[in-house]
Amino acid sequence: MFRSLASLFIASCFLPVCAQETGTLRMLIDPGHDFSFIVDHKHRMQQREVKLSEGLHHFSIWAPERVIVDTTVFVIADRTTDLLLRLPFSADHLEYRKQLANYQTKKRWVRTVPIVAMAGGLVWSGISIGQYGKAKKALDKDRADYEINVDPGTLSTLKGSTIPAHNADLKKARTSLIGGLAFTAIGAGATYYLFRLTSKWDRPLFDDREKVRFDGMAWIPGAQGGILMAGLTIELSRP
Amino acid sequence: MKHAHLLLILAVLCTTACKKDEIDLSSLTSNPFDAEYNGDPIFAMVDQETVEQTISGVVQQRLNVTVSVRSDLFPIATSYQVRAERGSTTQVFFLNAQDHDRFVVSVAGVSPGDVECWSLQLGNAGEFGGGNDVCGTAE
Repeated sequence: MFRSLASLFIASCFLPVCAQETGTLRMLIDPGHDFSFIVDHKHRMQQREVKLSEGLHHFSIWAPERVIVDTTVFVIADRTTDLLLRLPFSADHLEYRKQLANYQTKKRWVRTVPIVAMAGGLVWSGISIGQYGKAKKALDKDRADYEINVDPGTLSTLKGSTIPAHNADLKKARTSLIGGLAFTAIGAGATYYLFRLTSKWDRPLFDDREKVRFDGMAWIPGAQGGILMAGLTIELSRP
Repeated sequence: MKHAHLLLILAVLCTTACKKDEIDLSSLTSNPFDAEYNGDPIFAMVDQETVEQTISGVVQQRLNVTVSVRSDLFPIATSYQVRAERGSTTQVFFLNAQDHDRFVVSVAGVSPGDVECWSLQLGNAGEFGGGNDVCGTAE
Protein backbone atom coordinates (compact mmCIF):
# COMPACT_ATOMS: atom_id res chain seq x y z
CA MET A 1 0.00 0.00 0.00
CA PHE A 2 2.74 2.41 0.97
CA ARG A 3 4.73 1.46 -2.13
CA SER A 4 1.74 2.09 -4.33
CA LEU A 5 1.14 5.49 -2.79
CA ALA A 6 4.82 6.36 -3.17
CA SER A 7 4.76 5.36 -6.83
CA LEU A 8 1.65 7.44 -7.43
CA PHE A 9 3.27 10.43 -5.71
CA ILE A 10 6.40 10.13 -7.78
CA ALA A 11 4.34 9.75 -10.95
CA SER A 12 2.22 12.76 -10.09
CA CYS A 13 5.39 14.79 -9.60
CA PHE A 14 6.52 13.96 -13.13
CA LEU A 15 3.14 14.55 -14.82
CA PRO A 16 3.46 18.34 -15.14
CA VAL A 17 7.00 17.85 -16.49
CA CYS A 18 5.67 15.55 -19.16
CA ALA A 19 2.95 18.10 -20.10
CA GLN A 20 5.58 20.84 -20.63
CA GLU A 21 7.29 18.93 -23.40
CA THR A 22 7.49 21.08 -26.51
CA GLY A 23 7.68 20.67 -30.23
CA THR A 24 8.73 23.12 -32.92
CA LEU A 25 6.44 24.42 -35.59
CA ARG A 26 8.08 25.83 -38.67
CA MET A 27 5.88 28.33 -40.50
CA LEU A 28 6.22 28.03 -44.28
CA ILE A 29 3.76 30.71 -45.22
CA ASP A 30 3.20 32.45 -48.52
CA PRO A 31 3.99 35.38 -48.41
CA GLY A 32 7.36 34.37 -47.03
CA HIS A 33 7.77 37.59 -45.08
CA ASP A 34 5.69 40.01 -43.09
CA PHE A 35 3.09 37.58 -41.85
CA SER A 36 1.74 37.45 -38.32
CA PHE A 37 -0.20 34.89 -36.42
CA ILE A 38 -2.11 34.50 -33.22
CA VAL A 39 -1.72 31.26 -31.34
CA ASP A 40 -4.65 29.92 -29.42
CA HIS A 41 -6.53 33.25 -29.69
CA LYS A 42 -4.05 34.89 -27.32
CA HIS A 43 -0.48 35.30 -28.38
CA ARG A 44 0.34 37.41 -31.39
CA MET A 45 3.66 36.54 -32.98
CA GLN A 46 5.74 37.33 -36.00
CA GLN A 47 8.40 34.69 -36.47
CA ARG A 48 9.16 31.74 -38.66
CA GLU A 49 9.52 29.13 -35.98
CA VAL A 50 7.67 28.72 -32.74
CA LYS A 51 8.07 26.29 -29.90
CA LEU A 52 4.81 25.10 -28.47
CA SER A 53 3.67 22.56 -26.00
CA GLU A 54 2.56 19.30 -27.44
CA GLY A 55 -1.02 19.21 -28.52
CA LEU A 56 -3.55 20.89 -30.73
CA HIS A 57 -3.13 24.59 -31.25
CA HIS A 58 -5.24 27.11 -33.02
CA PHE A 59 -3.62 29.56 -35.41
CA SER A 60 -5.01 32.71 -37.02
CA ILE A 61 -2.52 33.69 -39.68
CA TRP A 62 -2.54 36.95 -41.56
CA ALA A 63 -0.31 39.03 -43.82
CA PRO A 64 -0.87 42.44 -45.35
CA GLU A 65 -3.21 42.29 -48.35
CA ARG A 66 -4.17 38.69 -47.45
CA VAL A 67 -7.12 37.19 -45.64
CA ILE A 68 -6.91 35.73 -42.16
CA VAL A 69 -6.70 31.97 -42.27
CA ASP A 70 -7.71 30.01 -39.21
CA THR A 71 -6.28 26.54 -38.78
CA THR A 72 -5.35 24.08 -36.10
CA VAL A 73 -2.07 22.24 -35.88
CA PHE A 74 -1.10 19.34 -33.68
CA VAL A 75 2.37 19.93 -32.31
CA ILE A 76 4.33 16.78 -31.53
CA ALA A 77 6.89 16.92 -28.75
CA ASP A 78 10.55 16.95 -29.77
CA ARG A 79 9.63 17.13 -33.41
CA THR A 80 9.72 19.91 -35.97
CA THR A 81 6.48 20.18 -37.84
CA ASP A 82 6.08 22.23 -41.00
CA LEU A 83 2.99 24.34 -41.52
CA LEU A 84 2.77 24.94 -45.24
CA LEU A 85 0.14 27.50 -46.12
CA ARG A 86 -0.65 30.03 -48.80
CA LEU A 87 -2.66 33.02 -47.64
CA PRO A 88 -5.08 34.09 -50.37
CA PHE A 89 -5.39 37.76 -51.30
CA SER A 90 -8.31 39.48 -49.67
CA ALA A 91 -11.32 40.48 -51.76
CA ASP A 92 -10.66 44.10 -50.75
CA HIS A 93 -7.14 43.88 -52.08
CA LEU A 94 -8.26 42.29 -55.32
CA GLU A 95 -10.81 45.07 -55.73
CA TYR A 96 -8.15 47.65 -54.85
CA ARG A 97 -5.79 46.21 -57.44
CA LYS A 98 -8.55 46.29 -60.01
CA GLN A 99 -9.33 49.92 -59.19
CA LEU A 100 -5.63 50.77 -59.18
CA ALA A 101 -5.15 49.12 -62.58
CA ASN A 102 -8.15 51.04 -63.94
CA TYR A 103 -6.80 54.25 -62.45
CA GLN A 104 -3.34 53.70 -63.88
CA THR A 105 -4.67 52.70 -67.30
CA LYS A 106 -6.96 55.73 -67.44
CA LYS A 107 -4.22 58.07 -66.26
CA ARG A 108 -1.74 56.57 -68.72
CA TRP A 109 -4.17 56.98 -71.62
CA VAL A 110 -5.14 60.52 -70.66
CA ARG A 111 -1.46 61.43 -70.51
CA THR A 112 -0.36 59.43 -73.53
CA VAL A 113 -2.95 60.63 -76.05
CA PRO A 114 -1.90 64.31 -76.03
CA ILE A 115 1.77 63.30 -76.04
CA VAL A 116 1.12 61.13 -79.09
CA ALA A 117 -0.83 64.04 -80.65
CA MET A 118 2.07 66.37 -79.92
CA ALA A 119 4.55 63.87 -81.34
CA GLY A 120 2.31 63.51 -84.38
CA GLY A 121 2.26 67.30 -84.70
CA LEU A 122 6.05 67.39 -84.53
CA VAL A 123 6.34 64.69 -87.18
CA TRP A 124 3.78 66.55 -89.30
CA SER A 125 5.76 69.77 -88.84
CA GLY A 126 8.99 67.98 -89.67
CA ILE A 127 7.55 66.54 -92.88
CA SER A 128 6.12 69.97 -93.76
CA ILE A 129 9.50 71.61 -93.14
CA GLY A 130 11.03 69.03 -95.49
CA GLN A 131 8.39 69.74 -98.14
CA TYR A 132 8.81 73.45 -97.64
CA GLY A 133 12.57 73.19 -98.04
CA LYS A 134 12.11 71.12 -101.19
CA ALA A 135 9.69 73.65 -102.69
CA LYS A 136 11.96 76.54 -101.71
CA LYS A 137 14.92 74.80 -103.30
CA ALA A 138 12.91 74.30 -106.49
CA LEU A 139 11.95 77.99 -106.50
CA ASP A 140 15.56 79.04 -105.92
CA LYS A 141 16.53 76.91 -108.91
CA ASP A 142 13.70 78.50 -110.94
CA ARG A 143 14.95 81.96 -110.00
CA ALA A 144 18.49 81.01 -111.00
CA ASP A 145 17.17 79.52 -114.25
CA TYR A 146 15.33 82.73 -114.98
CA GLU A 147 18.46 84.76 -114.40
CA ILE A 148 20.62 82.78 -116.85
CA ASN A 149 18.16 81.48 -119.42
CA VAL A 150 18.30 82.86 -122.95
CA ASP A 151 15.44 80.88 -124.41
CA PRO A 152 12.17 82.84 -124.44
CA GLY A 153 10.19 79.63 -124.82
CA THR A 154 11.76 78.13 -121.70
CA LEU A 155 11.29 81.41 -119.85
CA SER A 156 7.65 81.45 -120.86
CA THR A 157 7.16 77.90 -119.56
CA LEU A 158 9.08 78.78 -116.40
CA LYS A 159 6.86 81.75 -115.66
CA GLY A 160 3.69 80.25 -117.02
CA SER A 161 3.64 76.90 -115.28
CA THR A 162 6.82 75.85 -113.47
CA ILE A 163 7.12 78.73 -111.01
CA PRO A 164 3.35 78.90 -110.27
CA ALA A 165 3.41 75.15 -109.56
CA HIS A 166 6.39 75.50 -107.24
CA ASN A 167 4.79 78.55 -105.61
CA ALA A 168 1.69 76.44 -105.01
CA ASP A 169 3.86 73.66 -103.53
CA LEU A 170 5.51 76.18 -101.23
CA LYS A 171 2.17 77.62 -100.18
CA LYS A 172 0.80 74.14 -99.52
CA ALA A 173 3.89 73.22 -97.49
CA ARG A 174 3.61 76.47 -95.53
CA THR A 175 -0.06 75.85 -94.77
CA SER A 176 0.82 72.32 -93.75
CA LEU A 177 3.66 73.60 -91.56
CA ILE A 178 1.38 76.09 -89.82
CA GLY A 179 -1.13 73.29 -89.31
CA GLY A 180 1.59 71.03 -87.92
CA LEU A 181 2.88 73.71 -85.56
CA ALA A 182 -0.64 74.57 -84.43
CA PHE A 183 -1.35 70.89 -83.82
CA THR A 184 1.92 70.57 -81.90
CA ALA A 185 1.04 73.66 -79.84
CA ILE A 186 -2.41 72.30 -79.08
CA GLY A 187 -0.85 68.93 -78.20
CA ALA A 188 1.68 70.62 -75.92
CA GLY A 189 -1.06 72.65 -74.25
CA ALA A 190 -3.25 69.60 -73.83
CA THR A 191 -0.29 67.62 -72.46
CA TYR A 192 0.44 70.33 -69.91
CA TYR A 193 -3.20 70.70 -68.91
CA LEU A 194 -3.90 66.97 -68.68
CA PHE A 195 -0.70 66.30 -66.73
CA ARG A 196 -1.78 68.92 -64.23
CA LEU A 197 -5.32 67.59 -64.16
CA THR A 198 -4.32 63.96 -63.73
CA SER A 199 -1.80 64.81 -61.03
CA LYS A 200 -4.76 65.97 -58.93
CA TRP A 201 -6.66 62.72 -59.40
CA ASP A 202 -7.06 60.69 -56.23
CA ARG A 203 -5.19 57.43 -56.38
CA PRO A 204 -7.25 54.51 -54.99
CA LEU A 205 -6.24 53.66 -51.45
CA PHE A 206 -6.20 50.20 -49.97
CA ASP A 207 -8.13 49.88 -46.77
CA ASP A 208 -6.95 46.63 -45.25
CA ARG A 209 -9.99 45.62 -43.26
CA GLU A 210 -8.49 42.19 -42.62
CA LYS A 211 -5.69 43.92 -40.71
CA VAL A 212 -8.22 45.74 -38.53
CA ARG A 213 -9.96 42.47 -37.87
CA PHE A 214 -6.67 40.71 -37.17
CA ASP A 215 -5.51 43.49 -34.83
CA GLY A 216 -8.72 43.08 -32.91
CA MET A 217 -8.15 39.39 -32.32
CA ALA A 218 -5.44 39.89 -29.70
CA TRP A 219 -4.40 42.81 -27.59
CA ILE A 220 -0.72 43.64 -27.45
CA PRO A 221 0.78 46.60 -25.67
CA GLY A 222 2.67 49.12 -27.79
CA ALA A 223 6.19 50.44 -27.09
CA GLN A 224 4.76 52.99 -24.66
CA GLY A 225 2.66 50.40 -22.93
CA GLY A 226 -0.99 50.10 -23.76
CA ILE A 227 -4.32 51.42 -22.58
CA LEU A 228 -7.86 50.42 -23.25
CA MET A 229 -10.30 53.22 -23.98
CA ALA A 230 -14.04 53.25 -23.94
CA GLY A 231 -16.56 55.93 -24.81
CA LEU A 232 -19.90 56.76 -23.29
CA THR A 233 -22.52 58.98 -24.83
CA ILE A 234 -25.18 60.51 -22.63
CA GLU A 235 -28.24 61.85 -24.38
CA LEU A 236 -29.01 65.16 -22.68
CA SER A 237 -31.75 66.45 -24.84
CA ARG A 238 -35.26 65.98 -23.64
CA PRO A 239 -37.65 64.01 -25.77
CA MET B 1 1.95 76.50 -71.66
CA LYS B 2 5.25 78.27 -72.26
CA HIS B 3 6.03 75.77 -75.01
CA ALA B 4 2.66 76.44 -76.62
CA HIS B 5 3.44 80.17 -76.69
CA LEU B 6 6.82 79.47 -78.25
CA LEU B 7 5.26 77.32 -80.93
CA LEU B 8 2.65 80.00 -81.62
CA ILE B 9 5.36 82.63 -82.00
CA LEU B 10 7.27 80.24 -84.26
CA ALA B 11 4.16 79.74 -86.40
CA VAL B 12 3.63 83.50 -86.75
CA LEU B 13 7.30 84.06 -87.58
CA CYS B 14 7.21 81.24 -90.07
CA THR B 15 4.08 82.63 -91.72
CA THR B 16 5.65 86.03 -92.19
CA ALA B 17 9.14 84.79 -93.06
CA CYS B 18 7.97 82.05 -95.40
CA LYS B 19 5.95 84.52 -97.50
CA LYS B 20 9.24 85.96 -98.75
CA ASP B 21 10.28 82.66 -100.23
CA GLU B 22 7.60 82.69 -102.90
CA ILE B 23 8.49 84.16 -106.28
CA ASP B 24 6.46 87.19 -107.27
CA LEU B 25 6.06 86.65 -110.99
CA SER B 26 5.41 90.34 -111.59
CA SER B 27 8.90 91.08 -110.31
CA LEU B 28 10.55 88.71 -112.80
CA THR B 29 11.15 91.15 -115.63
CA SER B 30 14.90 91.49 -115.71
CA ASN B 31 15.74 88.97 -118.42
CA PRO B 32 15.78 90.56 -121.93
CA PHE B 33 14.72 87.22 -123.42
CA ASP B 34 11.54 87.32 -121.32
CA ALA B 35 8.50 88.63 -123.21
CA GLU B 36 7.64 90.64 -120.08
CA TYR B 37 11.06 92.26 -119.92
CA ASN B 38 10.80 95.70 -118.35
CA GLY B 39 14.37 96.98 -118.08
CA ASP B 40 16.61 99.28 -120.05
CA PRO B 41 15.96 99.40 -123.81
CA ILE B 42 17.65 96.51 -125.60
CA PHE B 43 17.77 98.17 -128.98
CA ALA B 44 18.97 101.62 -129.84
CA MET B 45 19.40 103.46 -133.11
CA VAL B 46 23.04 104.30 -133.67
CA ASP B 47 22.92 105.59 -137.24
CA GLN B 48 20.48 106.36 -139.98
CA GLU B 49 20.91 107.33 -143.62
CA THR B 50 18.64 107.91 -146.52
CA VAL B 51 19.98 106.62 -149.81
CA GLU B 52 18.69 106.85 -153.30
CA GLN B 53 18.18 103.65 -155.22
CA THR B 54 16.86 102.68 -158.60
CA ILE B 55 14.75 99.62 -158.96
CA SER B 56 13.43 98.73 -162.40
CA GLY B 57 14.20 102.23 -163.60
CA VAL B 58 12.33 103.82 -160.74
CA VAL B 59 14.32 106.05 -158.41
CA GLN B 60 13.27 105.96 -154.81
CA GLN B 61 14.55 106.84 -151.35
CA ARG B 62 15.49 104.15 -148.87
CA LEU B 63 15.93 104.70 -145.19
CA ASN B 64 18.55 102.54 -143.53
CA VAL B 65 18.63 102.50 -139.75
CA THR B 66 21.53 100.88 -137.96
CA VAL B 67 20.47 99.36 -134.66
CA SER B 68 22.73 98.24 -131.84
CA VAL B 69 21.83 95.54 -129.40
CA ARG B 70 22.66 95.90 -125.71
CA SER B 71 24.14 92.45 -125.39
CA ASP B 72 25.59 93.48 -122.04
CA LEU B 73 22.06 93.07 -120.71
CA PHE B 74 22.05 89.40 -121.66
CA PRO B 75 22.47 86.92 -118.83
CA ILE B 76 25.13 85.03 -120.81
CA ALA B 77 26.92 85.55 -124.11
CA THR B 78 24.93 83.89 -126.83
CA SER B 79 23.94 84.08 -130.44
CA TYR B 80 20.42 85.42 -130.85
CA GLN B 81 17.71 86.54 -133.20
CA VAL B 82 15.93 89.83 -133.66
CA ARG B 83 12.48 90.11 -135.09
CA ALA B 84 11.70 93.46 -136.69
CA GLU B 85 8.08 94.25 -137.41
CA ARG B 86 6.88 97.21 -139.33
CA GLY B 87 3.26 97.08 -140.28
CA SER B 88 2.67 93.76 -141.90
CA THR B 89 6.32 93.28 -142.74
CA THR B 90 8.36 91.06 -140.49
CA GLN B 91 12.07 90.49 -140.75
CA VAL B 92 14.20 88.18 -138.64
CA PHE B 93 17.92 88.74 -138.13
CA PHE B 94 20.26 86.05 -136.89
CA LEU B 95 23.17 87.63 -135.08
CA ASN B 96 26.30 86.25 -133.54
CA ALA B 97 29.65 87.50 -132.30
CA GLN B 98 30.82 88.52 -135.78
CA ASP B 99 27.96 90.95 -136.13
CA HIS B 100 29.17 93.08 -133.21
CA ASP B 101 25.57 93.38 -132.04
CA ARG B 102 24.56 95.56 -134.95
CA PHE B 103 22.10 95.14 -137.75
CA VAL B 104 20.35 97.39 -140.24
CA VAL B 105 16.66 97.72 -140.88
CA SER B 106 15.53 99.55 -143.96
CA VAL B 107 12.45 100.69 -145.75
CA ALA B 108 12.13 101.84 -149.34
CA GLY B 109 9.90 104.53 -150.82
CA VAL B 110 10.29 107.06 -148.08
CA SER B 111 10.06 110.78 -148.43
CA PRO B 112 12.16 113.26 -146.52
CA GLY B 113 10.81 113.83 -143.04
CA ASP B 114 9.07 110.48 -142.87
CA VAL B 115 9.45 108.81 -139.51
CA GLU B 116 9.60 105.05 -139.75
CA CYS B 117 9.43 102.79 -136.72
CA TRP B 118 10.18 99.13 -136.17
CA SER B 119 9.03 97.00 -133.35
CA LEU B 120 12.06 94.92 -132.38
CA GLN B 121 12.05 91.79 -130.27
CA LEU B 122 14.95 89.74 -129.02
CA GLY B 123 14.66 86.01 -129.51
CA ASN B 124 16.21 82.60 -129.55
CA ALA B 125 15.23 79.20 -130.92
CA GLY B 126 12.29 80.64 -132.80
CA GLU B 127 10.70 82.28 -129.77
CA PHE B 128 10.84 85.98 -128.99
CA GLY B 129 11.01 87.88 -125.78
CA GLY B 130 11.60 91.47 -124.77
CA GLY B 131 12.20 94.40 -127.01
CA ASN B 132 11.41 97.97 -127.82
CA ASP B 133 10.66 100.23 -130.77
CA VAL B 134 13.31 101.97 -132.79
CA CYS B 135 12.54 104.83 -135.17
CA GLY B 136 14.40 106.66 -137.90
CA THR B 137 13.65 109.77 -139.91
CA ALA B 138 14.16 109.96 -143.66
CA GLU B 139 16.15 112.89 -144.98
